[in-house]
Amino acid sequence: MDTDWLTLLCAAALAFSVMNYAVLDGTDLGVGMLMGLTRCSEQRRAMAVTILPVWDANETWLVLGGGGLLALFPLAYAILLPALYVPFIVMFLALIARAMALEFRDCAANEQRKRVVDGVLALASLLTGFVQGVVLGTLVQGVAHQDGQYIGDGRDWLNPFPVFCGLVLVLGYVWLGTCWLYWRTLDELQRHSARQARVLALVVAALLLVLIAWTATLQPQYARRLADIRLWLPAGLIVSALGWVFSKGFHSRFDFIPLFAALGVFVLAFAVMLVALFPFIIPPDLTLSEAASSPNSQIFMLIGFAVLIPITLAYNTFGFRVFSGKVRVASDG
Amino acid sequence: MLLAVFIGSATLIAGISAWQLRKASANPRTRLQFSMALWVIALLLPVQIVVGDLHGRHSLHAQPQKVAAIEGSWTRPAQGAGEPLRLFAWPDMQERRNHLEVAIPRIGSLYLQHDLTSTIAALDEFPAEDIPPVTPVFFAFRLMVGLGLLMLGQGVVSLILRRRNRLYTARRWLGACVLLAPAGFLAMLSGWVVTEVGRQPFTVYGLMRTADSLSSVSRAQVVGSTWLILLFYLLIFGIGLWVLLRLLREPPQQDQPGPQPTLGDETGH
Repeated sequence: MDTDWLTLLCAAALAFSVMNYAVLDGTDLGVGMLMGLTRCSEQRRAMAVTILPVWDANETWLVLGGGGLLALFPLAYAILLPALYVPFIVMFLALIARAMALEFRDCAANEQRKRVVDGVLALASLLTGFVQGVVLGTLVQGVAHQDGQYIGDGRDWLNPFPVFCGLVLVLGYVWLGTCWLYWRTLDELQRHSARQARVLALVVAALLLVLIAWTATLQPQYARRLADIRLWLPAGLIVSALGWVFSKGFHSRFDFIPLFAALGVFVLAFAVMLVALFPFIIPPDLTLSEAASSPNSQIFMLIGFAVLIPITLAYNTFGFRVFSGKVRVASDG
Repeated sequence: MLLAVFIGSATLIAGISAWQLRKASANPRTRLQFSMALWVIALLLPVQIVVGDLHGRHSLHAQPQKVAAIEGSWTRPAQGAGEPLRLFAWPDMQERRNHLEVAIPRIGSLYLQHDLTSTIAALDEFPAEDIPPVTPVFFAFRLMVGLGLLMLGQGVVSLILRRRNRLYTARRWLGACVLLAPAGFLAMLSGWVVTEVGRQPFTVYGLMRTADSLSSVSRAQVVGSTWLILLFYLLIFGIGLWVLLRLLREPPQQDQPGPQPTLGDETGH
């Protein structure tokens, strides 16, 4: 591999931002989807209150990821964005609707209207999560391009594999959401979330196995990488360990343990995807080096990232620390 | 831009405060917000005009077509005649001249070059395919400057009324402030039109033409998504503006609860 270290560093910064976005916003998207599944208005309010102070900080990573892709790998940006134009537009509109529903749900005049607002919130969260899975699936599936331009018809994402990825990511996000609620809530909602989290853990594990098998059939490189013992043995061991921690976590004093184990599974799955893709940024043939911007832009952006990533991490952490207590909802406000 | 943002918010706050004062002129909180907004307008508007002048001189150097379009100047005046200030004109892209022009001689040179005799590059000195659409740039600039002068006037009048202790009670003054509520934002949008349309036909001035920067997204997708975004924004921001105006209609009261009064307790802190 002749990818220079500067490009590797850029790829790492970008991957870090996207991964952070997926695990952080994924969790509150999952909570948003769960709000569509309960009839009890007090529980819905408790769910909303758990994510209300932190969701917007989580979405900072999406901006970093998008801006980073444009500045660090302009060629990849120029190919991916046209290929995924419709899903991205849908996702951004859904994110706007979701933000408004979440922030202003307390302004709804009566119970019926609040139910509509929560419906918007759940549906928009579902769409956002689904589109993100579709986007990743389209990327892994490969995007046709020529001379730095996308040459497809804009419907690459309408294939079984991306749609399946959308489904997996939605269920994964809901799983994160249930683990989050187990950590942040009490009583009936907490017990209910624990039951859901346990079931979803099995469902997500099964779906991930199918996903890996399906991915291996797409490209010879994927099959080679995924069948390599240096990948699947450590990955398998880590997943087993995380599974053990996850199930034990429900009996410990620390309610955050199941969530952290689930996040670990997400990070691992993301890492496996990157290993399968490397050195390509857009399969089947666009490499990181080919898509990279000039070293000047790379250094300029990396300096920016070196400042922004610690700041973003710091305020994320601060936000989670300040609002780390159990949510007690007095009454439906 | 930072100045413009302050001024835009200040005219809005002055406007809604004036609306509240017309109903309850004694409310001390409304008076405070009205007074603060007007101080911002009175102090920052002169600064904005100086910065705008510097900005214009930079554009004259960096993007001369834009300034020529702003001025509606198709041909350069004779040596020593100076640039006129065109108050009104109807630019004609086909005939490359203005109809119905109303202009004051030499005043243009005063703000463009800070003298009474210098001229600037005119539109006919550039290839026809390299000049922006003149009409929107010409009118957007006049709207922006006109609103800017109105807000400058608002700042001056506020200082006079403040001295005479009639700032919170003069009815026609309060009415004028209500009308000027959107002035800062409208001026900002007009300035945006001047900047973006004035740079055409380039995306990156002199390096990349807008026609060449088109992506491979199909026309149908672009048209469809544009309509979708417009409708969506109209809905979301329509609701947002409605909620905002409903909240702003009422003067602030003592011991008013914050937007999420119980959130602190509910999240365990």
